Amino acid sequence: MDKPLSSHLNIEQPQDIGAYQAVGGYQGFLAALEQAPQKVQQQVKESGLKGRGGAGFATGEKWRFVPMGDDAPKQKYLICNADEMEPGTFKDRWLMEGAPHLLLEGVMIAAYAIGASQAFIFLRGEYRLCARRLQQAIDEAKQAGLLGENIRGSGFGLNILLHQSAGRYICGEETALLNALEGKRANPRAKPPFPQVVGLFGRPTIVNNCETLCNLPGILRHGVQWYQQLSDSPDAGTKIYGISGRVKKAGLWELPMGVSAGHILSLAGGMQDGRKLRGWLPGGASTDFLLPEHLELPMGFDAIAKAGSRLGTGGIIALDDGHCPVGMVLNLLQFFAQESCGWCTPCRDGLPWAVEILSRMEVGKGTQEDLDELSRLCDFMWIGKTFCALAPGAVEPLRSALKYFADDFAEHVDKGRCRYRH
Amino acid sequence: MPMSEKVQIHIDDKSYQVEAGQNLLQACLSLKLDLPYFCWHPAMGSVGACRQCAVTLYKDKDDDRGKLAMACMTPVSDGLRVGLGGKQEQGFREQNIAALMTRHPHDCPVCSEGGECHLQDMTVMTGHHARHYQGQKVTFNNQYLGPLIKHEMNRCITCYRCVRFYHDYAGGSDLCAQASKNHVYFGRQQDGVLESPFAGNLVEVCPTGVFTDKPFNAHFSRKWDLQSAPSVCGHCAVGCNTFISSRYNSLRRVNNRLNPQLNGHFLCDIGRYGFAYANSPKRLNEIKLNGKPADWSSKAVQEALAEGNWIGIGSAQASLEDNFALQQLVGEENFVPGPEPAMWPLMAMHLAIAGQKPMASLAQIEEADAVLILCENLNQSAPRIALSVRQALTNKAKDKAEELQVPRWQDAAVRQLQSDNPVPLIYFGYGEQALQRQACVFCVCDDEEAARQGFALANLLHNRAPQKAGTKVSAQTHQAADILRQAKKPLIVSGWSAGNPGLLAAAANIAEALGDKAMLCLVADKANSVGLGLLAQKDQCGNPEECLASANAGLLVLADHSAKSRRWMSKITEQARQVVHLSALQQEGNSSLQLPIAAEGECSATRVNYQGYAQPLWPAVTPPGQSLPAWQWLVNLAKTWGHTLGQVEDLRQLRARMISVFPALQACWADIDDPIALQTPRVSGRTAMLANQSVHEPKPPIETEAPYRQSMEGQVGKGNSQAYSWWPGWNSNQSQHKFSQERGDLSAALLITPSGQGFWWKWQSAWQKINGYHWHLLPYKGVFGGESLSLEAAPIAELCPAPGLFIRADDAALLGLSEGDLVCCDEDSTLFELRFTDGVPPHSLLYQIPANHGFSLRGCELVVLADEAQRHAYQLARDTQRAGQAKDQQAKLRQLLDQDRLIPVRFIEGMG
Repeated sequence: MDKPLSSHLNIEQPQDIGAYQAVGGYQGFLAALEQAPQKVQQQVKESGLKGRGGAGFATGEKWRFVPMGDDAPKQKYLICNADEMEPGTFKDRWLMEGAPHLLLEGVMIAAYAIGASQAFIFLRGEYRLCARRLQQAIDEAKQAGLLGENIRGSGFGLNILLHQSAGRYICGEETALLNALEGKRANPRAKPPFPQVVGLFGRPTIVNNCETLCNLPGILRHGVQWYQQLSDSPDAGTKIYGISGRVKKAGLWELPMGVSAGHILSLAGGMQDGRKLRGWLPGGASTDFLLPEHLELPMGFDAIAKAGSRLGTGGIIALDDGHCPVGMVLNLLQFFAQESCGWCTPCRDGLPWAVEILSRMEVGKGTQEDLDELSRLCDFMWIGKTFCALAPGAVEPLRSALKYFADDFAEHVDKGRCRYRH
Repeated sequence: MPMSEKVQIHIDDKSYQVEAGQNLLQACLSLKLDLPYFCWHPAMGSVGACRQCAVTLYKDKDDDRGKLAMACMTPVSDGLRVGLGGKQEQGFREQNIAALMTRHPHDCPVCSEGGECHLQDMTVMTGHHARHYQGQKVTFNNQYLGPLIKHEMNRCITCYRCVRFYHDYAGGSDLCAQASKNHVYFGRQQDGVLESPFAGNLVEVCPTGVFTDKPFNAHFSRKWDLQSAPSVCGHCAVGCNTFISSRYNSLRRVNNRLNPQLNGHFLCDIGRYGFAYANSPKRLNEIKLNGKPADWSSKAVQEALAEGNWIGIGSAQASLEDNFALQQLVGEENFVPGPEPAMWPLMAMHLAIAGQKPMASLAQIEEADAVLILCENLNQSAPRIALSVRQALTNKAKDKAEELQVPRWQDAAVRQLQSDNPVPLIYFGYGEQALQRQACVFCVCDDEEAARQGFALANLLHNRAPQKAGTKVSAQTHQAADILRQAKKPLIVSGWSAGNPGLLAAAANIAEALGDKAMLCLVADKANSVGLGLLAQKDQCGNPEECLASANAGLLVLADHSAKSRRWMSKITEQARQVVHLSALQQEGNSSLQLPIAAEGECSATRVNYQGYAQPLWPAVTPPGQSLPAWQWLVNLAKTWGHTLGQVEDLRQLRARMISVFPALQACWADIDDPIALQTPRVSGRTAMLANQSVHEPKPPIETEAPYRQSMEGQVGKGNSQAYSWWPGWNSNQSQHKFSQERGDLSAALLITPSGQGFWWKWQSAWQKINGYHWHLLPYKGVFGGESLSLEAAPIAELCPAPGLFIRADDAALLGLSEGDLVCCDEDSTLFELRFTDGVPPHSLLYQIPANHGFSLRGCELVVLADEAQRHAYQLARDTQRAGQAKDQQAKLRQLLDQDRLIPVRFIEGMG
């Protein structure tokens, strides 16, 4: 099976530029330089690549809104969103630590496709090893003449600047990321205007996830058909899937899009001995719980959505029978309440409210009214009511837990204690 | 925004016609429908932060589920179907209030916002009345923000309006949003005085009690107990509309009264806090003869006022009525338009130009797409205009937004677009304040050079414009010409602050050269400078010094409190037979007789703003002690002289005489059939507050001519004509937003009708400066301390900086001086703190000095470092002044609080 993302990935000692080029590295970028930017866009669109950051928006579609041609603004920006802070998700880190040149090549292709002469990698602050390796890769690429003015005589020039985030979950939201990069408060922006038209410093800007960009070199090098045959599911290409929780061997695997969650769990060796799977979050903390009965579903955008959750980042978090679902939801919501940017009321004040109730419930001091209030809060923070997607995402594990683990909540209220605590 | 077409929208299945282009929240409010909101502001646009104005939008008639949306972020469009009162949207709005109230301290009884709190109103409106949240509240530390604003962060509901106003709208840099989640903190990096001269607006912008009016808090009354009146600010020539409010006959506060053409929703801090000069310890409450209390009917006073040769000196700080009465009494030939001869040619020039071209209103200024400022210190002379100019700088970003299908009121997007779509600001002049810093073309020069370049600029724009021979046209002037040529609505601003009429002429020529597309704004010196000038257009006493010498005349003076006028007055009073001051504040020295007159908010009056608009203002209190309106003293005097002015019995009759001279004034004082109540329907203790002194309920005083009643009887009024802002369910100033598309009945009268005829001004040699000094001293007033009346208001005096001398750093280096050094000019006794700035023309120094501090040098040879003894004396004097200010302030406050306990019955008609 082809593993275009991870076949040359080495977490101990990533390839330098020479080694990367020796196995065909940067050929995708050089192939792109041979074509008109619009043709590169066309290929990416036809490939069916969807964003790997969580929302699953078609990458080619996203690019389509960038003004192109002679009338377009001279300055455009390409930003790699590497602010990976989703709980349970560590795929981008793996890619950047193990294959920094793959990401750079993806950034170069995307920048060329939209006509951006400046790119930024917005990196999670704690990812210090990534920062070192990426910076080294950037320096190598510069020396090799793959960055800078007039690259390989193509007339296209590009600089990549590595930005280490000061650290907020909300910076993963693309417009908040733009504000942060401009030195402003990391609050999301209203759309429209969309970043493709009015982005960083008011200029057309594309923000793509790290893993999304890593898919580009393969598409450019091997073509659309090759990319589509990587997976036999409706979603093209491969994906870095992961699983954490009380499994035997938590980890990451590059697999064709649409493999089943059960397959991923089996790669992890199944649950730890004596543990039973009670539920799982398919793609990070801001997705709805699914149950063991959903394990055979393909891990694709549509199939998971049909089951009532989201594929998200593809980083599964498994809940076993030795941990309290209420406690787990409390833990997650504490994180989200902490990370609210404070801009809109439902998120800023709704999440701490939910945390307050869950905290009491977890120690057995919750009431039936509290359960009703939690349901109301889920509704209060739902899509369309908040300014951005943070709170609706935060609510997903809560509302699905209220549905699937209703008995656990009821038991906390009725018995006045948590059975997992002594 | 241009008048646009109407669209039909359906709200709860009822159809309405509303103006296109606005957002749904604005449309609902204008339809007088109740839709709660926090973060939206009509002047600041929409950002969608608070989520309070949620409505349900339906696709069509058959859609029964709809989709929740924020009204403030939804443009109205034809056929829009909106649910406003349905269960879904109402439920969400209640939950939203419940959520943001989880942190609110519920301290309404001790909060000075109580009774006029938008949060209270909205909470009641949504139906949220019981608290379900059981957790702890988040608490914050409060900061010291200076003498004007009190900070109480626990009350914050995080609507972001404060920083959006302070930082985005007004350009202040020292207040910002800090921290995140439900710990967002609005304050400074550390305790300290808020730097922006518009900080006072936070009081009105904040929907609850986080930022409150500190001087008002110190002598507090609930809004429902305040007796308020529509007034007009008297501290500069703009004439911002205000509410002035009192309780127990003492003035408590000023806040903004919406006038869409002038101040809109905001005032500057001079206008908001300057009124307190009326409560100053220097207030004159009784007649004083040679410094001692005296009686009107006493022989000595009557002798001092005996008929004879009198010269009347008008004042630009006094009303049109007062100046008119003085002119009538002494005769036009003996009337002098104010005690500052340097102002007379400016006055004449201003009126001549205003007679040709209309002066742009603030609303028009905000539509400009290119701005040229010709050596006018706008930040001080008319801060509110500076704020409007700042708004004009967003116009191209707004146009760009519309081009991108984003509404102009989507504030965040507009600000995002601003850096790539700038409106050019061109500054010829000196200094380094907010507007200079924003200029894309800044030519550092003095007033004469600015006038010369202005003439050259007009000539570049139109070859018939006269040029001053020998002017070297600067590169910036060429740049300015290119910018102004391309502009669709260029604005030319100049004014009196540099004291050079050539600037006004140059501005007029530039406007003439640009043709009809140009807007012109000339800023006059004081609140009624233009009104005074209009009176003085008649034959006037050419040279009072000669008149005085030849005629053994007496001086009847309407007080002007600036140091400049004192200097000239002291020169001419030496020759005067008698000097009589009509003043609200005690006059030092050169006055033999002082008659106490009504101050701000104490009598009906009329002032004429820079455009020539006469605006009436109405009293909220009666004048203290023996004080009377100045015109009343003059009428009384006329009676003793047997002068025809003595036939005037009341204000109505005086105004009838004024109308015969200025027929346009008729409109300004138009009768209102149904008088408006100055007190709220809820005013408490009206019948009981004097019961400790008399059990008889007194009749409220009646102001003739006024379309108001000093009681709770009468109508509430609408929009601009209200005495206080109110609408059923809306007790805060936010009720004004229900009237954003209508004006009240109160109207101003334009006294100058521009002819529209073209005219070219020629250069006059009088505008040239002959200055042989090494250092040319240029006046550079600051916001606080630059205006004389407000300097007598305690909180403003506290903010007045020490005298400063501004020098270029390289010049200072040559002289071996460093920033902060204490220096003086030649032998002059005034000590300045040396400050560095780049905005100083060559061979010049800028001096900044309090308006009540005398300083007469035009130039000097040397900048001398103060010696040890001088430094010591200086420090001592400043410490003493500070301590004195604090002591005076506390004493005055104690006196006012004592006064509240024993309400002065004398202010009620028929009682005492």
